[in-house]
Amino acid sequence: MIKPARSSKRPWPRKSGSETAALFGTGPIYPRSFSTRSMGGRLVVHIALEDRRRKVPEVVLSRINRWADRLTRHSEYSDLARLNADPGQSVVVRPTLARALRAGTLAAQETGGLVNITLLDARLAAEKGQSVSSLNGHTYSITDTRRGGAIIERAPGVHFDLDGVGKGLLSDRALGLLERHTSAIVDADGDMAIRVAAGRSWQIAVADPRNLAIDLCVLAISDPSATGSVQFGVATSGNSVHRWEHNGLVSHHLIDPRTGLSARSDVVQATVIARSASRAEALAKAVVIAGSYAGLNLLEKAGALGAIILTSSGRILAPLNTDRYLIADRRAKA
Amino acid sequence: MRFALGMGGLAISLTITRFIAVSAVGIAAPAQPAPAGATALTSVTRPVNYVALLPGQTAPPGATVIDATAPKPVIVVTQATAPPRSTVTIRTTQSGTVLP
Repeated sequence: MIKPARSSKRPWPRKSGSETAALFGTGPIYPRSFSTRSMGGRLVVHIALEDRRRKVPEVVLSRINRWADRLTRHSEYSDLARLNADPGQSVVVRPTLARALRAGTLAAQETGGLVNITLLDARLAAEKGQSVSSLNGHTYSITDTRRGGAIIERAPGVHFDLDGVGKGLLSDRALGLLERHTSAIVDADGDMAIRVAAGRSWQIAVADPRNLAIDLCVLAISDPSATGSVQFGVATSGNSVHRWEHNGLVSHHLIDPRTGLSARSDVVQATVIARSASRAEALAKAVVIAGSYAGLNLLEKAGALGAIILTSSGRILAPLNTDRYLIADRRAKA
Repeated sequence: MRFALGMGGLAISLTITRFIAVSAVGIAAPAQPAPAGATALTSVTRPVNYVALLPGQTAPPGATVIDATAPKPVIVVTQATAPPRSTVTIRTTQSGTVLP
């Protein structure tokens, strides 16, 4: 059920068109939000408060839900579940799933293989406190067909888990549907595709996983040098939420493809700023798996726009290029 | 035919090269002299080139040597105990987080 945010009062005084433009023309954007449940979490579309169009975000939410229904592994009727249940090594998939699998392949290339969409069995084993016997032979290929579909050729036993790759992809696609909005955010459970008008900024808080009542910091997402709308992606990944404990051993959902086990690193949570939600999501996950040292190197190599990294010792680190997005002066160079 | 096309391409590339050379001269020459008593400011962009030194190699004079194994310089963010929430309503979280 889609629930548009409603207010009993007008959030701003009635003003003429020019006065409204002066009020909202520059600076931080005050959001109007439309939310629903999707992909096992929340799905929210934010548009600028002064943007009077209401119908478009609701249409977009419905469209995302239809896409998500094809990519979830929690429904036996989804395209992904059918692919995983198919015993064949060569399977034809429809365009939405084909696009998600291509995005997963690209994420693997950009992160040196740290993001891997073939680790479903390892993840399910981690949930039970077990481990998979072998990760060898987890190979697949994608051959495009007409009308956007694809033929998936895979080694025996390869099962796919799109996880955040699907959310990032859907956020980016959905933002494309909001092309008439010069400022908009599609937030798929923390993975955000962002468009911001010239001279404006979206203020986005990075939640503290240790205490959700406070934030690690606040980012101002904008591009002062832009003359038109600019797109960004902001995504957060971490090992604090999807965790399981069996016989005193803690595991979580971020599987290190080098070991087939839950990643052991000094990073608890990583938030990455990039040019798309897909890219930000892949890099955030890779930083958590790789650790802070290798993660900072990866971010620099991948050309990430910025990042906020919470380590297990409680330090909050950010690459130097994050400085332009950090609000307030609560920071020091180290 | 091929010869004619080749000659045509050569002529075009020569023209472009000449245009670039003339433009560069035009940029280098100041349009107006600096006023008396004023300090002429010139903006110069120096490209920074990184060269990975192999074992036994030494850096050229004046070069800054960076230890490739040294940690990257970072910003350490100091967390606020009471962050401003007046304008911020959008938060990025790990997936599955239930916000209060």
